[in-house]
Amino acid sequence: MRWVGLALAALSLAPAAIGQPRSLGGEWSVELSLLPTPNLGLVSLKLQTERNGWTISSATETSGTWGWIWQEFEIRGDFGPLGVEGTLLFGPAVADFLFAQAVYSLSLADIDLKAHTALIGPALGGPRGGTAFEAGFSRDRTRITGQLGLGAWLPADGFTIHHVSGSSRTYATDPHPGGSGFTHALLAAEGIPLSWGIACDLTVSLHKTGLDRLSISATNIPICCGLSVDVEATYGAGNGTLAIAPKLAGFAEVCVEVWGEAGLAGRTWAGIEIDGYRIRWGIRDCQHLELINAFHVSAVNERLDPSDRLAADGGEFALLRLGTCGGQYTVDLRLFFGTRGGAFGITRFAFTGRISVLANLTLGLDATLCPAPAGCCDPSGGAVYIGWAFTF
Amino acid sequence: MRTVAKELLAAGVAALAWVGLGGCFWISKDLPATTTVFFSDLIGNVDGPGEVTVTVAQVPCDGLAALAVGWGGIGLRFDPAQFQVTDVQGVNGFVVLAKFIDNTGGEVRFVAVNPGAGVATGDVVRIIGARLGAGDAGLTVEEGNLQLAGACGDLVATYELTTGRGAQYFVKEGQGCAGWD
Repeated sequence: MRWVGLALAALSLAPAAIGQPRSLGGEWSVELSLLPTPNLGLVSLKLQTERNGWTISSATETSGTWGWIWQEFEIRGDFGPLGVEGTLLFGPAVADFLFAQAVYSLSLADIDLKAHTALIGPALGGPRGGTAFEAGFSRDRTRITGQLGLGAWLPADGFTIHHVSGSSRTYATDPHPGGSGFTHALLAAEGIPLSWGIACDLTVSLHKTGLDRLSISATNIPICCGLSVDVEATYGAGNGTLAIAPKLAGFAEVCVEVWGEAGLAGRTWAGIEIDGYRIRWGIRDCQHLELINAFHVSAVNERLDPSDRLAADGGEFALLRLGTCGGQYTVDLRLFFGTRGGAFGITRFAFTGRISVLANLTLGLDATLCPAPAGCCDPSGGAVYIGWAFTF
Repeated sequence: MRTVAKELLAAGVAALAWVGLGGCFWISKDLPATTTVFFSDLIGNVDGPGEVTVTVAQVPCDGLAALAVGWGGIGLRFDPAQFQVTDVQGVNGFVVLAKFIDNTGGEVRFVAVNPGAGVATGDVVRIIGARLGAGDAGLTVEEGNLQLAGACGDLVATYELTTGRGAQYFVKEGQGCAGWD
């Protein structure tokens, strides 16, 4: 807890350095569990104050079941052209320091430079930390980005720290393996103009152990009659994704993604093994219909958000998702299908709804119900939560 | 305090933080000096999937080619109130030839081999299942109940053994030994 004391001392100096705070704002959100047992769920309080371009914020998350889960402090501001952003994360459940990150940014004409440094504490297998550098050049619609990681790197999906409750925090910098040796390099070019209005993106990502990811995409490939198609192919770590998105001007947009792995028998190429596919149909601005079908559930789950993952032990293999929204509300409905489902093979029904009742108040409802005891909604067969978020 | 003095103080605080923290960021966990077998913490959300990763480091004899857990009769013990095992999977080229799972008494035994090449440092096996609680998973295994065979054909008799517990905070990658050079 010495780290907490140091953080509090540093934060107490910051207002003295930058002057008296002008205002205090933030957000307070509460989640209540109605099923299986009424209980206080996650409570989050974010406080923020600003003065002379510097922002100091604090984020606290607690739970009725788990107690105090996260405590995060952040300071953000500019020293002239140099932008500075610092973050400290503590885990009150184990009374220990977890993670620290500092990002320094500098913009010069068309070039922007960033230096990311990060450190994890003993509770997460540290102490270890490193630095990753990022440089970007933009001209017209084309952007070229380079990254170099020394003891740390910048994952595309970020670096996520989990708590056993299911809550998590994600940051830009992964401080593994630590030290100052070469870890990762990335070169990306986006929006490269080709003929007939086609734009191309290319990304090559290399780890110390070899190729991490190779991605090529082309957008707005004209077919005919207002029909065009976007194509993206990604290969890395022995598996790949092919995404094809046909678009009809002024109408719906469909995206088909196929996930597969290179089939190898020893060192012999044995073909491509398809793990699954996703079809997403964009109906209007925020309305969409999505179907995911998995032939290899564990491989497909690695590509999905945690809330969309299929329960292999429940025999789940498919997900149908419908999203819609209006001016003040958003609704998301998910149906999971499996070999041990009830009617129509449905194993789980998940609903998420949000509605803004005031400019600064949003109400929410989350429900997960299981028509059949398939292990997908253990321990009780379902859960219902309501909550609100109030900004001030 | 005048504006110029405030700015100078702010710049000084930032410079001090950069100098003071800079050395803290550029550190790495040292690679073990001796052969080590490491059973990681049980990671995963409560009431969700959980896993324990078995990792080796600095294995001589061209790297580890075979690992038997439960050789002496008792395998990896765990608290069945915290963890229920459903499978044992080989990684990094390792194949699990045989496994025994007892979720009542809390024990798992397995034999894993790598037919391709030895692994001197890296993950070997992943023990997966369901995490039931946030407490100590009670992971224990005796050295006499392990057998390591190197790719050169000899047994690896001298090594250090480390077992984890139940972690409240975790990352999915870079846990424990992963991330060593």
